Amino acid sequence: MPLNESGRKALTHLDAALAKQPEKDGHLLSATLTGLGVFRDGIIASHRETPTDLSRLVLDRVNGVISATMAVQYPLGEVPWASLAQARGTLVGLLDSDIWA
Amino acid sequence: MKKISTPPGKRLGDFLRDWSIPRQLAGESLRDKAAESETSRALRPRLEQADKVGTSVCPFCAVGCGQLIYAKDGKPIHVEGDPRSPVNQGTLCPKGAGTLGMLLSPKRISEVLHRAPYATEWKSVPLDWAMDRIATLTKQTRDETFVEAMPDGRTVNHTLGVGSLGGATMDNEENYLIKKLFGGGLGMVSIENQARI
Amino acid sequence: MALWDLENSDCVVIMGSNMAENHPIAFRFVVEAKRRGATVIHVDPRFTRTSALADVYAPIRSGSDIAFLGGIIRHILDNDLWFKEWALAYSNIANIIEEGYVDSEDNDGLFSGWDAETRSYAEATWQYEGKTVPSSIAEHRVHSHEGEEGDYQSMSKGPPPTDPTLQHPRCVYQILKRHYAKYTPEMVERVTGCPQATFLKVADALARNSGRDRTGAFCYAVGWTHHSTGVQIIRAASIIQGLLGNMGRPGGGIMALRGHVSIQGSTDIPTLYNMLPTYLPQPSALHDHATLDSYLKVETPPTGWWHNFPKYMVSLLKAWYGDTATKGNQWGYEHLPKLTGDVSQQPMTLAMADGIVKGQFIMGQNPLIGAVNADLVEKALGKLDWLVVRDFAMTESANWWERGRLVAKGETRPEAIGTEVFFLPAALPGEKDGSVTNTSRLVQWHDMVCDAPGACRSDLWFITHLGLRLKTMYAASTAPRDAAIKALTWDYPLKGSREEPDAESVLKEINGYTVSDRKQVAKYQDLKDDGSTACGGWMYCGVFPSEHHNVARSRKTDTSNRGNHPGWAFAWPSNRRTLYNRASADLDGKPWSDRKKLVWWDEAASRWDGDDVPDFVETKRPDERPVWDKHPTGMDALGGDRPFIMEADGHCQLFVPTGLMDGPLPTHYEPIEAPVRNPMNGQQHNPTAKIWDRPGNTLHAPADPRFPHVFSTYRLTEIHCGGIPSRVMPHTAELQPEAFVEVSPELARECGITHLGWTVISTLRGAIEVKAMVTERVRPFVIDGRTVHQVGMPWTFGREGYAQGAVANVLLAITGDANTSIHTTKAITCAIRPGRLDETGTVPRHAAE
Repeated sequence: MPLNESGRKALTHLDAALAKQPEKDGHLLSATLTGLGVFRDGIIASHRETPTDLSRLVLDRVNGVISATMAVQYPLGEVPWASLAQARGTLVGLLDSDIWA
Repeated sequence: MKKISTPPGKRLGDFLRDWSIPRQLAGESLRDKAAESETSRALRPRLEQADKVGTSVCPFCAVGCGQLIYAKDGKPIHVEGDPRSPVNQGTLCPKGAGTLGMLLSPKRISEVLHRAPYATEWKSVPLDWAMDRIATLTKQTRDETFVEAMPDGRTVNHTLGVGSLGGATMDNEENYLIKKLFGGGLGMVSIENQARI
Repeated sequence: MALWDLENSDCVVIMGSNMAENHPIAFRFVVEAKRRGATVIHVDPRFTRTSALADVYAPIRSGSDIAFLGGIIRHILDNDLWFKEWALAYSNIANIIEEGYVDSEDNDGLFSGWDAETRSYAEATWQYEGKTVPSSIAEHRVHSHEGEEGDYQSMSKGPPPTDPTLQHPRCVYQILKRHYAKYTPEMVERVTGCPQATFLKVADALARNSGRDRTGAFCYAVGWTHHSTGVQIIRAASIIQGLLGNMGRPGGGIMALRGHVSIQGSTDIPTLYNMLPTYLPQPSALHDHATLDSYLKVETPPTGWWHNFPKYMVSLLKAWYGDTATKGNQWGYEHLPKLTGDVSQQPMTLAMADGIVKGQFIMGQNPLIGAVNADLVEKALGKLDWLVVRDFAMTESANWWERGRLVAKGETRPEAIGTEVFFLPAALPGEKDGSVTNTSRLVQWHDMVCDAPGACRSDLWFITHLGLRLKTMYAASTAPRDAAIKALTWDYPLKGSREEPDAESVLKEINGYTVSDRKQVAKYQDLKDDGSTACGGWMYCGVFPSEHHNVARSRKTDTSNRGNHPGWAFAWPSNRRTLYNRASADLDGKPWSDRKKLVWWDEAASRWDGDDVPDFVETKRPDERPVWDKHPTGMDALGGDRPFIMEADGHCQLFVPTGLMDGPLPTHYEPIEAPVRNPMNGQQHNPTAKIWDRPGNTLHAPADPRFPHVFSTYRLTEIHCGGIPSRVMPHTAELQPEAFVEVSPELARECGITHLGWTVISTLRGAIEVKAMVTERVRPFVIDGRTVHQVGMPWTFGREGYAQGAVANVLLAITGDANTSIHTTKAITCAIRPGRLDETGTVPRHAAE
């Protein structure tokens, strides 16, 4: 399975979760996080094998997306939807880039 | 086993001498002298052999009962309530009174155990090796999950990839250093203890 | 209040606690109070040894506490039984609330400010008219946006409007009367199941034993906190105590009976996600916390003691980041990680299950027994890359990969679990030195008497040596993200062949010192915000006031009749035994009565004096008033008649304008899982409660016929909490050898359960089998016209140690109180049947239907 497949899956769940806002769907957000976790595991494995500035950058981006998703799934007071929407942009940018070829 | 070789006459004599009632009748005090017997004269205070005593605090609930821990040759031999403490005035509940049983429990483990991924059993490993390995894993996971800024640009300098649980059974100094190293040093935020449950 | 102060009480209400069994030594003081004539009351779903020793036992259904306490509030107000001089002067009872305020009783259970989309409240309409009141609670500041809304400065521009005649319809007194009007004795009986006559006995006893000459106290434990409304239950008691004047006075107060030796210390110097040492809010990316300046701006209340906040924050940064912390780099503020959400234990566990948490330390805690939804926790642990467990005997949380419930059920096997697990044996008390803080803030030092066996080490050793290794590993890094660990001060002296860190050197850092000469700071009043002082925890300042003086070691017994034991260890803050004790004197600074005197104004000496360290500015006259023209800040904005100095207005808050996620006044909501519909309003449960609905963590609907009974968990005298320490002690294990469930004879008859026979208890989270103890200690309740059964079982058992048994927490769901994220363990619903688990596994018949 190409590395970004799990990322695509996470994006599908994320889009479904975003579409339901302001309702917070715990099942969808949990599926998003699980997908992002698997996606990150793959990136980590490749980064451990050959650490490059690019793999470092990709890892940083995915970790940021994870933090933004966690912030909506487990909010402190207000639910930061806007931040999650921006995280979606980051994730799409990452998945659409040519680094996965 | 003690061999009985003394003649019956002497045994009776010994008994009569040791028996407290004739001695009471002869005027010895009921409160001390007459209450003594050969057996009680041989009894020694349980803590006589303790070479060290320290003040402690009962390790169970948060009432904070004072304890005294007695040791001999570097091993604890007795734990009791501290009579000076205004909290417990020497008393202890069944848990506190059983503290020595915790220190000396046969279930206690004193070696470092390691279970490799997918392994079916523990292996005993040297403490130094385990500490090095834990430091390596901590650094690796922290570095691989660290976030300097959120996708929207806000600085966070945190990791959600490493967590820590526990603290309510530990000393203040231990809690302080956990929060300082994990939070202030490594950027971990998932640091929690029993206070919330 | 100090534990021993309970013996000065004239009425002790124990509620949400089985004090005689779970805090037996603290219960000595209740027994002594009773001997001196006090009335002792136990309010609890179960008749226990505490009930047996009480004068009045009031049974209530689990989770109905606010209905009961609200009934007492109504009784006090309707019969005019409150301590008027005290409450009028020292509480906000006369304050006028904003015009837009709508009470939950006029709005079917919801207060004004409710946002249905975000399921949260805005607090604007709960404020004093024309003011924005900052909260004193770090946890709330982290949780809400209170610092960025409204105008805090309004608090220094003049006093909040009041109506001392209490006639204004929006004054707190009138709001309270309307809010609790419905809480009649009839309603109390209908909701709680407690007979009206018993309820009235409790209310009468409390009111009768309060006033100038008498005081009463509440004692609670996790029976109050482990609910979706836990904070509001305690709040309800604080309203009662505020009305009756039972705060800051001998024998008066609310005593939290906490469960672990230093659970108070680990809250003060927190291994908690949302606070920095001694109640400073953890910075958050969701707040205006980008720089130290903006953080201090939004987090520093203009009035009251917390106005000193910047001194404490800068001193903490100096303690952590040492010489590298300069004014130019915001004293290293950037190093502190920022929060983006709730990462308390429950979310941490769920994130672990989702593969987000990869490495975990568990130190002296046993979540597979103590955390709720045990099977989900076990699954989560299996997702980790690595796990470090530190304990002194094998725990369920360390060997689940070979002996866990999921392995036993055949759902997984060790060969399929990739987690690398370490078990590091720990040193025990007597084998290390250090300080612990008890439930009434008493910091006591304990000595090292002998070496720990083998490879056992103290947690101080572990964390210090882990830190030293990490500092070495990061030493060469130039990456900005590694600057924090490089800057961290970590030079604790190591002693002996085992290189044990010097615990006193750590306590000295917590106490604080002046940076230039490294001399200990004697008191927190000496701390500065200019980088000249370093202090790891300002509230502990004074515990180590000079180079060789460790006050936590002090063991002087009180030979006077004052009974405050000032020479025994150290009570934070300032060795003060009773907080807010200025309230023990009247407006003029004279004790309310000779019988209840504690501190007073000494006119000749022009200072406060007393049997305790006065909790006030030492020389602030009782008749001093703020000069509002000067826009006073800090303590200058509080008059000499405002004892509650941590609050922005110095008042006891009967009504809370800011500080609570779920409303300014406690309201009865049903538990998240309840056997009945809420008889009091249209909101079934706390609308702001944290519910994490997800696979494996689903909840029962209200009055679900499949799960008709109330289920509650509790502790035992002999087996302590997570259980391992007492389950491996031969004596205690022999006294309580196995798990059981308590069932009433009525329910036993109904279900065909026999004493000592097996039962299966099930919820949608899981099922367990455990032997029944059929006992009249548990009684059926009549709630809203129908019979409700309650069952209870100890949660302290597991499969390790000598005393073993089913894990009760398998049955519970992961949920959270809105303010604290504390889980509900005291009131869920369940099914119970006689027999054993099905041969095919653990799928309960009821749940599968």
